[in-house]
Amino acid sequence: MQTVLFHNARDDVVRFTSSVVAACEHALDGGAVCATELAIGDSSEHPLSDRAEDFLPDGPHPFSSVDYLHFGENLGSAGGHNRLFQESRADIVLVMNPDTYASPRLVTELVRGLADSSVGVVEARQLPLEHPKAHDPVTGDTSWASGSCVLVRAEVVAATNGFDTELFFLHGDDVDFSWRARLAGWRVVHRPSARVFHDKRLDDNGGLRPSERELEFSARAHVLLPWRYSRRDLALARLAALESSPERYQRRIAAELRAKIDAGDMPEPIDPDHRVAQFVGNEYAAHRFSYSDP
Amino acid sequence: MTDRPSLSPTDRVVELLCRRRPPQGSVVVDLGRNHEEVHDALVPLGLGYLAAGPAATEIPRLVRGGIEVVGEGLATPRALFTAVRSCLGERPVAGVVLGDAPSRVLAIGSVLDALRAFCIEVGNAPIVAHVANVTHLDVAATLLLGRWDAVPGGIVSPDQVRQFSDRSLHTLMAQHGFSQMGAADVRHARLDGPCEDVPLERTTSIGMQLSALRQMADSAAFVTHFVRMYEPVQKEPSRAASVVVHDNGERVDGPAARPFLSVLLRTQGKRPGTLQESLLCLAAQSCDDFEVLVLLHNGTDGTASSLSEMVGEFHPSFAQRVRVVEVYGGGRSRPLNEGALVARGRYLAMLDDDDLVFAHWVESFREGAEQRPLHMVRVPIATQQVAERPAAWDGHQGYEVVGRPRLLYPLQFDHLDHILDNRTPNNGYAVPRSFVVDLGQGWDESLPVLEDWDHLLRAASMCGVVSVPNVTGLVRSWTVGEDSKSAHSAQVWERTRRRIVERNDQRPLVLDLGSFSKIRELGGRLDRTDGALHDAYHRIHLMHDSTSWRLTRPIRVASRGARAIRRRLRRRRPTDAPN
Repeated sequence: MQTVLFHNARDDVVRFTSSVVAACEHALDGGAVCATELAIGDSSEHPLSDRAEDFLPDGPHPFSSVDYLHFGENLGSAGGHNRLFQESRADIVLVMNPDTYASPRLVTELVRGLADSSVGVVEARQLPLEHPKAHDPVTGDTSWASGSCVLVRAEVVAATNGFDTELFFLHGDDVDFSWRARLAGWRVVHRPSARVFHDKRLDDNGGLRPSERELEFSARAHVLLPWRYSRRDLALARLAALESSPERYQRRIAAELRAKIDAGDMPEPIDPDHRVAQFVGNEYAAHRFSYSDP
Repeated sequence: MTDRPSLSPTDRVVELLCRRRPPQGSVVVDLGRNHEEVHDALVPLGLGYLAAGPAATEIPRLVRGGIEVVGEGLATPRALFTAVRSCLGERPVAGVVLGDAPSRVLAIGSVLDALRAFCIEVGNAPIVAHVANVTHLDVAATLLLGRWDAVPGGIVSPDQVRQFSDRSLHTLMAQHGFSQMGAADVRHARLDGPCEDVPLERTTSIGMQLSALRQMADSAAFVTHFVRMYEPVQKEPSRAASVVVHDNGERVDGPAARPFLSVLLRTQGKRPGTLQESLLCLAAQSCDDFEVLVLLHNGTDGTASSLSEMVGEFHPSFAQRVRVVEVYGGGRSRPLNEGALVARGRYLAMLDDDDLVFAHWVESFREGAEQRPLHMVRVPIATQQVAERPAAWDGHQGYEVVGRPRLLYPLQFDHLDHILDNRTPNNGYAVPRSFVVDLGQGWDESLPVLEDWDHLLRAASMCGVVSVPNVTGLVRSWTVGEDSKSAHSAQVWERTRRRIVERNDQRPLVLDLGSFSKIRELGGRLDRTDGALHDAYHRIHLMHDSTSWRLTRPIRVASRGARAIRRRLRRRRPTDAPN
């Protein structure tokens, strides 16, 4: 299991790891896995502690090893996880955000999702605000898996080289990773019985409250993803929309991207036959509902 | 309200003793002070009488009156009961009259311990005690006036060393191994003397409010004397057997261990999947100063143990703060009331087993309680539509979210708005536990629905409200599948709503600060609407009376006729059309 911290409070991290302790114990007791290890990366300026055990709750834990790695620089979520992938010796890796809380059966249920050897990535169901992305109710197949809580085979990481840190620092990395895994022949599934709490909150209008950073990186991914997945037309249309946006940050991002295009720095397009990439409205999958519905 | 006022406490003592139909010739041992009175009431009934430990000055008089006497005073209780035992010989004991000793004997604990040993020795003889009720409404109202009216023989009397409420009497007796087996309390709505104080007069507004408040707390508002019969037991009996509490792990007890909040999580055990999700949301709270009572209502065999297993799968840092409580019988609200009694938290909040909360739900309640202690805390809750579905590919017992969360209710609490209808789902407010337990303000078990609205209205009126405008929870609206909305007919909802309105009309309503202006504003708005309507009616009336309106009447009649013909033709057209 691996997670990447960035300016988290120690108590919050301990609450998070206590849930992982219980979920791993359940998986070990039920024979879903034979061993577990915990790796905590930290992108903050200063290390939160110099002892990995400080991030664990009191009492016994089921991990064969517990590692804390202070990166010394902000690698972002994608870069942090890639670094931890390199250190991992596990066959399967559970990637989690530190603002989540695992249900006791989370690991067991996610591992069960790998019973079919064609499945390479299994996504958990988030609560209390479910991701509105649709999935096939019979097979579980879904367009992409959210990186806030996802189980991946080490083979998938090896085949894809993990997250693309060149293009994605924070947002869109999981969509890109899922689509490249699918291009490599793996299935990506959503597993409703694998529950995870994700600390998302509603604003005063009952809508989602994204941070400024999330908005920025989301706007960037909005152009980069269609570009990479051979939808240059859509990428340019979105870029034009950003350029004429009343929001200053969007115009700034548009200028950066325009400069990349002019310099020939944009990624090489893949998926020319549109086998995996989906662009449905502003989303990367069909959605059951939208948090921005009126 | 007044229950046979002519009977004195002593009469009630005799009444209680006779309820057990003691055998002829058995002896009543009297440790009280009204020896002659009790003696004269019992002897004609064929019972024996023994005055135990009377004051030395009274002994000659009692002996002269033919009353059997043993011992002097209650200063050495063990010696006294040894003397009583030897005096009785083989005669059976019908009972022991303790009289008002609990309120006038300083070392009552040693008297009760010796008495209990004596009662067991003579075959579990019952005892009868009577003490004045210091919590009578008139005492409380008098205190509000800054007075402490102690009069000899009154409820508050100068020779009392200890005052009693219903609860403190129960506690004292239970601590010394006595269990109550009968009561014949003396009730008087008013204490002696004509009423000259506004708060003491029940029909004044303030009198009504005080009376309502006092009666909410317990049923002893008008009891002048508690007259109770007890029997010796091994230990204090446990609460009703209809409640079973399962702990998960060790916990430190005592006042220091009391959490801020007790979450009353109500379930019937029929939706384990959604219950697991509610528990997950609680485990992930940013503030862990709370406990959870999973209230299993009318669970079937094995459900309680499977719930305990479910809880036990969580990390002990959460699981040890959760108890499963089995509750049987009663309506929808019974589990909440039972849960409140076993709760340790200073506040109570409710959750149903298909509700979800965000990470700052408990934190927001605590923030509100810190801002205005002991107020009801209200947070906004969003509503989300879900639908039952067949089991998913992974066997997940299915339901699906089918819409985004909606904020149907205002962010800020408005008391007047809530009088019109409920604007707060049950997981959107927390109340001080004292409001429920000490003031007796539980959830009405006779209401089939809307019990939360009824409860919230009382809490808002009596505690006042502090709003914390963070959206902190979700309630599910089941478009497919059962919830309380679909489980009851529209008539049941309407009937219950009317009942709540009627009931609220029966009690004084206290509104929060600022309500005066709000009511004025509402009244002003009504006045203006009324004025505008009146003005409009007047104009219509003038138009009808005008010459032009009368002259144009034939045109209007003709045009009405033409419209009717057109309508008729339109209706006939389809039958004329070819297939």
